[in-house]
Amino acid sequence: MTSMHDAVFREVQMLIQTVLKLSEEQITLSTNIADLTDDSIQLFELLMAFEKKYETQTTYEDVVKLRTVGDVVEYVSRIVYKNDLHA
Amino acid sequence: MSIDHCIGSHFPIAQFSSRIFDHNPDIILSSQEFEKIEKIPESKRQSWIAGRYCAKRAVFRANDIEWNDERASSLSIINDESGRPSVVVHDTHMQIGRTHISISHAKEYAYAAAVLGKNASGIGVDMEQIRTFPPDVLREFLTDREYRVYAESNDQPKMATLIWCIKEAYLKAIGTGLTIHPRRVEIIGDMHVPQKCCVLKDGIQQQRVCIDWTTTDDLYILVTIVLP
Repeated sequence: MTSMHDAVFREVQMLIQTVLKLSEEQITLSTNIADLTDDSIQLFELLMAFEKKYETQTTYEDVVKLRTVGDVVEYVSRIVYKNDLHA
Repeated sequence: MSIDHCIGSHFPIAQFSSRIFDHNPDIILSSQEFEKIEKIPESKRQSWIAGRYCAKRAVFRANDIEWNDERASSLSIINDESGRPSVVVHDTHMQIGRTHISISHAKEYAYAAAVLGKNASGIGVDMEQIRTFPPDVLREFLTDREYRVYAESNDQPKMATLIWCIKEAYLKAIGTGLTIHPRRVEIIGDMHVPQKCCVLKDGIQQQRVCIDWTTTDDLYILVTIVLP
């Protein structure tokens, strides 16, 4: 994991922790986001929190398709920080 | 708990709901479903099995087939990439026609409904615990018109939860789920009478959408939507 990747992961992890009131051990790169939430309303709240944090740089339609925490980290790195983790 | 009733006059719906089991009634699962359950976190397994149980009960009922556990294990409920469930029959002797199904999980309950393909083009259900929404979440999923209905309601948590459930059930029925922002769907009409409600998508009224809802223990709302 690069330092950039790691920093984005920590940022995403903290956001999820805050919104869903989870411990950091429950949130790994391979964790399925839907598995962290109790229901669809909670999932929607989390999507809103992503949109709010990254403001106009992310769209609901893009974020809702992301399945794992790793997908979110990759997306945020690419869209928000303009950093392609596979480059 | 089981629920049986029709929506409107044209769509015989089979519905079934159940509390999450205290044990794993995995006898009703097919071998394909057993493989799938390995990938589901332990904390969600009972809820997942309860959802399968309700869905299979509803499929049997819609097809007028008597329930037994062995028969239940000879069909699978599978989800496509978008999460939409469908029925796969492994026993060719079972007389199961094309059946639309939808499943919802809410804390201690699972709920599913089924309708035969010859009677409808889609079905969507949602079950949620009635709750108080944070103001910013309300503003995000309610349209201005819905917000006014919510603000004037004498039971705001119930009204907001009901509107959410109708939106999500409709999005499941059309096969997109929440990949479409819930604010693109608007509910208008008398929010106290299901038959007097209409669904608008992107501002366009959707014709002949049948909506029904009920509450359980005054704690949960269950919404079922059937598309003609």
